[in-house]
Amino acid sequence: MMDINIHAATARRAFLQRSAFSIGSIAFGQLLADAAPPSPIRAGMPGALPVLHKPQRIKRIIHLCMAGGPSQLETFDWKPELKKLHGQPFPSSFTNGQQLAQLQNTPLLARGPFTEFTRHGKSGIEISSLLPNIARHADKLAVIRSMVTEQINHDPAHAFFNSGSILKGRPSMGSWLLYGLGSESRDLPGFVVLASQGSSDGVQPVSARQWSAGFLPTRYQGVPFQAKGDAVHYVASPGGNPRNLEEKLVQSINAINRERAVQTLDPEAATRIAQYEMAFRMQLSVPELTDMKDESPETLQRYGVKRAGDGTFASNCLLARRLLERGVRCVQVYHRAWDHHRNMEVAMPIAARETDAACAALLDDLEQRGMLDSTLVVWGGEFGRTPMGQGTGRDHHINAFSIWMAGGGIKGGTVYGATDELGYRSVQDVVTVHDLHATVLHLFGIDHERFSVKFQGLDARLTGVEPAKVVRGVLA
Amino acid sequence: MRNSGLTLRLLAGCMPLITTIAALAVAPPKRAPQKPSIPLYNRDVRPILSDTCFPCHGPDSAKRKSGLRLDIQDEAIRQKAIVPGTLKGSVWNRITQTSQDLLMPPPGAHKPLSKAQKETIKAWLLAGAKYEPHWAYTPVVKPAVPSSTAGTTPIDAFLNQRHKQLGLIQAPDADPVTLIRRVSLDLTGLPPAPDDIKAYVGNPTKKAYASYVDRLLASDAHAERMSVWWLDQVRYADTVGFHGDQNHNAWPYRDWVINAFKVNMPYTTFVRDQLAGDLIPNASDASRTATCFNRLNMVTREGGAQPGEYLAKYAADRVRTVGSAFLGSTIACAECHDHKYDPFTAKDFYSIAAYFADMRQWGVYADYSYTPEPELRGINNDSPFPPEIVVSSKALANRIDEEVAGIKALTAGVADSDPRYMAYLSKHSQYRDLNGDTAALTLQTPEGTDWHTPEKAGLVIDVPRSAVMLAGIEVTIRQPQVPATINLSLKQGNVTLPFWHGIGEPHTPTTQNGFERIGIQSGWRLTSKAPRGEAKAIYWLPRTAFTNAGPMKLTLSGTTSDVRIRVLPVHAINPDVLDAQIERDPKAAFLLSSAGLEKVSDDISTRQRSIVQCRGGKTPVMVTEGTNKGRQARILARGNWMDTSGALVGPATPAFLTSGVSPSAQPASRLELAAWITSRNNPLTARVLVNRFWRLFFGTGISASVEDFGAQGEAPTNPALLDWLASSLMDNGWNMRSVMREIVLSDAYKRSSKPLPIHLVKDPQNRYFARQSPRRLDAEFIRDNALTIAGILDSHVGGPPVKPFQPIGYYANLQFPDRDYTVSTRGDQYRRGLYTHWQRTFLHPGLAAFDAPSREEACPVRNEANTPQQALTLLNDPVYVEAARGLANLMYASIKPGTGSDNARLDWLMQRVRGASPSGTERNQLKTILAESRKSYTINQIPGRDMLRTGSLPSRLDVDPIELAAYTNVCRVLLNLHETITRY
Repeated sequence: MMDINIHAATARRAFLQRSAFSIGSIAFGQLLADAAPPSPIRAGMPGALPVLHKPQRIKRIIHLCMAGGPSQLETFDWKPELKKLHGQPFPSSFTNGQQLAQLQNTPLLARGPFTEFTRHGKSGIEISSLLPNIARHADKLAVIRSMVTEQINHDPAHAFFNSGSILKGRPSMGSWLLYGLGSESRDLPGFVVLASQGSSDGVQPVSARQWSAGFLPTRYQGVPFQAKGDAVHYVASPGGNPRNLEEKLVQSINAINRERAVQTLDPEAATRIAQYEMAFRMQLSVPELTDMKDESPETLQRYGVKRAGDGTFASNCLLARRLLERGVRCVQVYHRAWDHHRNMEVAMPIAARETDAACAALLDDLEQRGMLDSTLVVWGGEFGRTPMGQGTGRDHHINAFSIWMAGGGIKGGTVYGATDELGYRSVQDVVTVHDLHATVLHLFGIDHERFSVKFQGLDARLTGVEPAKVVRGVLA
Repeated sequence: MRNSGLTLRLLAGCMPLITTIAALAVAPPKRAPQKPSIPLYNRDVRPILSDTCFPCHGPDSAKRKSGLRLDIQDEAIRQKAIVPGTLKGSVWNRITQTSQDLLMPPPGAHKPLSKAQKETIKAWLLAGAKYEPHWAYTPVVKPAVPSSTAGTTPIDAFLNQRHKQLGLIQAPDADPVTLIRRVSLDLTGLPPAPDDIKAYVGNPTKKAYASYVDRLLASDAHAERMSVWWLDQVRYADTVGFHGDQNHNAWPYRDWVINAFKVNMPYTTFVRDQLAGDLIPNASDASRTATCFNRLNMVTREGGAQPGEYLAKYAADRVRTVGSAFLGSTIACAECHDHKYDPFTAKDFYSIAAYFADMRQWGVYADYSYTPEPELRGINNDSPFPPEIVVSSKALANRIDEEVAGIKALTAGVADSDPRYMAYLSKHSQYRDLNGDTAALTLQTPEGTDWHTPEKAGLVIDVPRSAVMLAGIEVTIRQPQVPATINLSLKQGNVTLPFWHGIGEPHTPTTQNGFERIGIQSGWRLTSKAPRGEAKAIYWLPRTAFTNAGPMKLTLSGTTSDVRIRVLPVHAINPDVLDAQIERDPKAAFLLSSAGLEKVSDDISTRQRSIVQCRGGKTPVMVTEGTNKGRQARILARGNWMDTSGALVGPATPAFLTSGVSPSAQPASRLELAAWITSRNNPLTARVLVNRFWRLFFGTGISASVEDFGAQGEAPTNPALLDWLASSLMDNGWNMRSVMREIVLSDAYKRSSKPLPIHLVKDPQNRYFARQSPRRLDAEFIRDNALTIAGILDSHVGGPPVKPFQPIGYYANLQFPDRDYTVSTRGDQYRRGLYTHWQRTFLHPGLAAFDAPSREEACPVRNEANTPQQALTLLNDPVYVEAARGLANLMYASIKPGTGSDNARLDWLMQRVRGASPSGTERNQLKTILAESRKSYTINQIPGRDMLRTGSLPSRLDVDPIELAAYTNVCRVLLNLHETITRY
């Protein structure tokens, strides 16, 4: 059990206590010298888990978040029976007593998929014509067709998908991972978020709570990189002050803080010194990271990037690869235009086009660099869409949707779970969001039941209080 | 002990220096402090049982295993789990099992008991297994103050007694500068004025300190500081939080809170007005404004949201907030099931929810075809969130007065004999009678009538050269054909002359992101509901235009006929008055119309705009409106809003907390809930409040778990002190200020925060308060402190939220509606952090970096992180770069350019920042920065020059830009110091 308690004030004194009890007398001058800049911290930030609960299969995760809720019926869940029923009343035996969103109080008609499905790879997974590039990787994918969630509106559904809870102030999965495992990067945040709007209909807002550290300390929260202005807030020096001058500034701040730390015996003053060093390293590394000049035109083309750094999903996927290469633990890449209530036959192909090549190129690059074995790639939205039509589109749906995973520990070429003949309900090997989280933690070597933090008297877990299971069927 | 190994690992990012400091300060102890031989239930045993046994053998009847409960002594004995005085009961048997199948807690729970924990239980069982009622649920009884020497405050008497018991030596007094900075930052969130430091250092007596404290407590700044704290408790924000995160009108509530602290409102009234101010007979606007408290929960306008689901979310949010803000309890846990650790039942949860069931509210704040809400017809993503009332705002009224005074000061500067003014009057002799009606020129149709017929595409009307001056346009419609929208635009040659303001009557206003659009420049709307008869509007230009500068054309578009247009040659001093003939000031007209006076006229225009923005000192605010819906709530099994099988419950307070509280008059309303919360017999409220105050002044509560006074919380380390403070609060009529005064006047408060070696052995966490603790300032106060030091803080109290600089594109991911971010102007850029527009989904990154909460949920205690993002913020957020420049400006105002040495300047700066001269190291470091900056800017001046252009604060023009930039860098170092953002 992780009995930790997030009272910063007491916690930092507890640290002092441990220090007092455990270190003994080490030459003060020597340690002070160790703390003096430049003293690069080789590892990033250590994690809270002293030992992993089980073997670790992956070191990092990238979540390709198709925000708004892509239709499973036009992507990964082929339903010929639904196509036959197109335009007919949807059988009420399916829908009675079930939640609806914008279809509340309206007649329900079946809507057949508008895309073609073909089998791909040796595994023969059926994937729609909207995603030809992802389909190339069919044998790497584990497609889960039996996802369910509890929240039918975007905002709480995102909260639930990210943090396993709709209560505010709960840490997101990325924050949990960073907290438990620490960061390998010493000059970049361990959890980075890249969001792009997309150009089709169906844009949905996202909120900072989706990458919030909740009750965990702020340092575990996702850091959003912006497309406009500085990639990281306040990373640029004012007025373009020269690097060496800014470095002197930071050195002076640290030198004075060091003197005061000794005078006041305030451990936070000492911590502050390390944070200024890290901040300065970020000032150096972020521009290097976001300057994609060294990416070849061929690479840009594979990703579908028109102009590197333009903030599109494609450019963000490339940036994400660069982040993963630099040891970032968790990256989330959002495309925010998948809420296709109407006009889906126009809008969905646009959203697909803006994401498909980039997702596939990312898989290619990770594989080519030997990183795919130790990286988990997750693709999906916060929920799916109804087999009933909503005019020219589909409504939100929580009883069935599809996601895929690829990378370390994943059994490629797998289809897991199934929905009924009309795609209304997950009927076989149902996977909850908590199950998905448990599976991700498992791949990182963490037992989700033993990974908890004491918050307001309770042992809070990413996977909540109800039993959750690792989805063994998708594991290699 | 609540903290264990992993807490420490949380902090493992800290560097070796910390360990060094600790190692240096203390020789490692040989053994831990002695344990008392007989464990006490509340202090030693309950925490173990609560964490490891109660989840399955405690209050939650649904999860109870084998029907056994261990939280009630009689039950435990009846079931032979405990045989007092022996180890015969099943508890001891099961926790010492070697068989994994029989062992308790079951290995699957991952809560193994440590050897020490088992020893504690053993000793307790053998000593008779005495239970004690939970400390926080027993009535507050005022304890006798321990005897002590004369002049000892009661707080110190309680603390001294405990220190003596524990053998804790007390830290010496803090030095006067540290103390006065501490108490100023603690009570006001602002540093002491340099004069106050000087005065106190010269006369560091108890009397001087006490009178300084009293001055601080009476200040606006103190009220603002306390409001920052309270607004966390009640999750105040300027936006709704869900989905589109639209603006809502809550800031008058924030001002109400500030005023409540300013007038030292008794906590009883404070609580009553927020929960039930609308139910007081003849409720005032102020007490109705207070009920915005019940409206601060997150709400949604998302299409497709189910009203029933969201009403359930709102109800649960209110119960959580009542539990957290007033009772320090985690009632939230009882939403889906009886509480696992505390005696709150699911019925209690929904019974509290029932108090709020009478509120007029909607699950989804829009009228969608699939979820119709006829009352909300016409509401869109730009609309406010009803119900609202319109109230007077002191902040707005003050602002109007200031702007009017500002304009008067400008016009007063024009002498009657000023030749330019006289020339103006004579040149435009036809307007000499500025109070008359004759000056306006009616624009006639080609046919020579006064009444035009506009076309949909727009009727173009020439302004004749004879009009000479054009300050505004009056439009009169004889009999509007409603509904109609009328638009007016003016061009001179190819240049559009935009109207800055327009008013129309009648007019149906539109809204923009929650706020009513001011005026009609963006369209004059007459709905079919508009009263019959003549309609009139006036459009104003910011400065007078002249027809001799080029041909002018008006374009009038609309769908109504019979429109008369008159050119108004002279500005009205109050552009918000429809009758343009009144309130003219010839001197203002002169200033607004004369070439060469653009700066003055801009100033007048700006002030006029500001006056208009103040909407006559009135503002809408969300309030609670009761209905006769009745107050009932349904118990939702497992919190599932679709499960309607649960029982309906009426309003009631938790039974286990209600003993001794006289039953309220029926039907129970929110008034009774407030009365129960602040009843003398409520064991929680006063304790929770004083414990939170204590935390504000010592960094940790007397019980560290300020957010949880339940079984899982920490027992107070000095229960008698806590109860004495709670009793005193109630004895003094729930006087919050007097409790705070009592605390900061204690000897304990005044001690040094530097730990003595013995503290690190006996009380490393400072749980017994034999010393002070350093604390990093809260996010808002880091900003306020820097702006104050720089002399640029704008100390206006209250008013609409302000928007300081924030990174471009920060709201890019917000939709419904799309959001832009217009940076506030003038002094509003430099207001206290408390007034920053609080966007729940994207809180200002400068505040968020320093752990200001998003306030999506009530936040009894903030995180206190120490991150690289904080360093980047202090180094590069424009406001801190501006503050550094402001500080350099200020220094040069005191030590003029060309006089004084670098040493003198550095002394001055260090005094300003922390009230003491620099040490040798500091001086050397600052001189290095100075030298390096000069060297760098001498080679290339541009970066320094650009840095001085950050933000909008002007640089002193009498200082060499290289020197100013170099000193700005010095000031940046000072504002970044850990000491600057910490109170010691």
